[in-house]
Amino acid sequence: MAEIHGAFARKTSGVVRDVSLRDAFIFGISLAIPFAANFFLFPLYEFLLPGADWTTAVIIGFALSFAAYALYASFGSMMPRSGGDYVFQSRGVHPILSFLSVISLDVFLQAPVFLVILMLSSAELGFSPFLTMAGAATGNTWLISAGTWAGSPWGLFTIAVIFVLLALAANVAGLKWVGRSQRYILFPIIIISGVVITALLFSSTPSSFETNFNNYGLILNGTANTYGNLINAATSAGFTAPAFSWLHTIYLAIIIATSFLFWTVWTAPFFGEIKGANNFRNLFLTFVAGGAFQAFFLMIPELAGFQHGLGSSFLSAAAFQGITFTPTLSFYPSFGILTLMTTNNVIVMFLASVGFMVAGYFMAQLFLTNMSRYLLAGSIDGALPLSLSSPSRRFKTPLTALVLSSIVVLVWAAIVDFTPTQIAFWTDVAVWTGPVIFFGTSLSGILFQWTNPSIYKNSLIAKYKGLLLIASLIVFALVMFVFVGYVIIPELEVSLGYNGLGIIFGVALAGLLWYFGFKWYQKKRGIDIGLAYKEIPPE
Amino acid sequence: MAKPVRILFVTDLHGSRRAFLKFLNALKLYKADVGIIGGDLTGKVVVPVVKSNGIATAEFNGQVHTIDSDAKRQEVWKAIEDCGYYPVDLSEEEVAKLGTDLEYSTSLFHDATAERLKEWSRIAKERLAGIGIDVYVTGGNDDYLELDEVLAASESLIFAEDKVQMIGGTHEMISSGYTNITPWKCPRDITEDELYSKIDSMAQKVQNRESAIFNLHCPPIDTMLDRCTKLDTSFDPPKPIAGVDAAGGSTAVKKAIETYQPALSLHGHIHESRGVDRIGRTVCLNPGSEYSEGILRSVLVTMGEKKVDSFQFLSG
Repeated sequence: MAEIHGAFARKTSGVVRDVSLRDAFIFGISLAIPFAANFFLFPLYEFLLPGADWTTAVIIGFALSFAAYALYASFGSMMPRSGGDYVFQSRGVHPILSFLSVISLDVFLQAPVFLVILMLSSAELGFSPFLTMAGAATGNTWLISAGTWAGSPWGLFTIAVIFVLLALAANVAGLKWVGRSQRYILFPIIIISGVVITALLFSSTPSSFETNFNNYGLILNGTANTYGNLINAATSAGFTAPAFSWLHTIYLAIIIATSFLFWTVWTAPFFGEIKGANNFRNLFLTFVAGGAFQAFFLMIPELAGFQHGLGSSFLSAAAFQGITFTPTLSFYPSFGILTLMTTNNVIVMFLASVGFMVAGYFMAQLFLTNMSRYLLAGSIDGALPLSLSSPSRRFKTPLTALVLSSIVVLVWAAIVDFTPTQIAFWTDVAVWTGPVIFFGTSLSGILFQWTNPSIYKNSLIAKYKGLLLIASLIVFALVMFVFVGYVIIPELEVSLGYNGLGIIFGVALAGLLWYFGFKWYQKKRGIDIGLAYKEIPPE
Repeated sequence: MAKPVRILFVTDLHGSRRAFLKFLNALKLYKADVGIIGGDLTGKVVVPVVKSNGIATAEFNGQVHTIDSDAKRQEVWKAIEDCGYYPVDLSEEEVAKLGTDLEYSTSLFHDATAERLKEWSRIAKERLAGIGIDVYVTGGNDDYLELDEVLAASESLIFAEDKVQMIGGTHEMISSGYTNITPWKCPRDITEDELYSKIDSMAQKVQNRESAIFNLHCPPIDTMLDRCTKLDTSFDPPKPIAGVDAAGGSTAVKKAIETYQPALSLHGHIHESRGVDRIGRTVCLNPGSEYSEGILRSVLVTMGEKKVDSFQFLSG
């Protein structure tokens, strides 16, 4: 074996990319949506997909997610540019697709609505349960009231405003600081919370949990034997612990893949700021590591602990109550509050909840980064005003794009938080439009070798023959399954109604009008934005 | 009324073969009348390819590549060149000299950069033949002075350094790859006074300042074109200080623009500071650079008779 000799660099200048692949990994796992959404939705899936085995579903979902990891690593290696999906779709298919799916539906609808729901779930899984349970454990009624307020419209909106303003400040300070804050604050806290939650759940038993649940039920709900009432209500309605179902496990695996594990690739919007983003292997491994962290640290141990510490019968009954609200409880049986009910120690409660609290904030930070980078990419192409890609003189970051993104999120926060009876509707809108990004990018991946043959042939991924096409086809098939499944599979049904469809098509139409109007305006100024979408042959 | 001139400006290619080839292709794709490469053609790294016991290896971007076939050699060579690095076949003894013998390593770099530029010149000659697009090239502060001879000898690239040239038949352009003193003490680093004197002597020869173009590698100070990370010069080489910004531009360049007020000034040097600014009536542009990723950043400028009609940043 020959001795290895490193490259010899002369002393010279040049610093461009600020974010390391390690930071990209943390960005990816900061989208550890299970912390703030999956567990929040726990009763929904337990009720809608009875018999699904969560551990098996997570493992299958993780395996399916390799297709998305390969797809995005391939695009990163070919086009490591700011704007991610917007760039991939506009170059691989057509700018109208990218404008519709990324700028219109994602930046102005899906991302902000979903972020609002994530911040809301952070409040309802972190702040509200902690304050409520801390109050219950210490007999402090002020804390119980604060916990109730944190879950009220004004409480939710206040938390959203604080999160968005802090996230805006961090983003304005620069991506380097965003990365550092995630590395030194979010990552350790998530690990602490994950370990504490798992330890709490595995140290609990169904019988000790029954005692705790009844005690807290008496304090919070004012009723004795809350545990028994819950079980009886579900049993008398015919909803009992179901037998294992492969079909529901597969459905759940696809949902876990497309809704949660896929999203570790959502560093794509700032590929242009990641060192080594053009290295397929490293990028792919970064995504796999992020997915593995989610699956094997944030999902499986906690879910297994949940089964172990609370018991299947209770979980089924809790799921029934979470959907039907029968019997009436003064608290929502979310993952957060049920976990905290396994202890009486306020410090332990805080350590278990703090992950949810910070996850909501860091998602605000990441969503603002990504929304602003999509706007920046559209602006660089000339499809949006130049000011959206011009860095601030003082901060060197795309201030206008960040401020616009923050305003969009706060407008949606006001709409969603102050219509508490419509939260399921807004969740459906976000769930429906979520996979649109993957639809567009996987379609681009399918067509790319024919629409951009010279770029594809000259890229390093061309040597992995068929990889891009196969990965894209798998992602495309999974996304189409989700879209169709939401309509025709009763268990997965997401009912948008005319209002939901009207909002989605209205936002899409507004985007189309903007695209053609601004294109015409730019043409008058002598700027042909069509040039921006032409990839330059590299040979 | 003169026909508008479309100028495609790129800068800081730093040896990236991929970025250079994209530039040549972009000239046709964007229907440019004139191309300008604003300096810093030199790459930064030599990658030794060392053969030992019949097996050649190259360490590049954190990965060790074993070269066991002609196809593999071609693939690794291309990947290294696309990033702007220089693959060089060396013996074990020659590699050992790289870290200890400054004269040897400097000579190796000079030879590699000159050879790369000669190759680019040959490719440009083939690609630009018969299409009537003039391509102007200057040095940059990273470029050894010896490279001027290579550029001056080119049959396809027009060497613009230190000259006043008429481009597109209507606009006089002055060009300089020199910059103010940088922490790296590069080959074309000079004092602000010397830099102003250099620019001033060219600018005074310009007949029509209103329609003129300044092609100056270094951007004007305290603009949107010169934002960079502050460097700690107590280290060798200097290290960036995270989160602390600095203005890397030149007071001399700013003063020259303020004094002569050309229609357009084109700059590079600060890769991360792609942007536009205005100094009086002058539109100042820096397209930035992402050469190491193989991305070509450019700005397409349409020049009217006496002013910039429009500009468009592009990357691909």
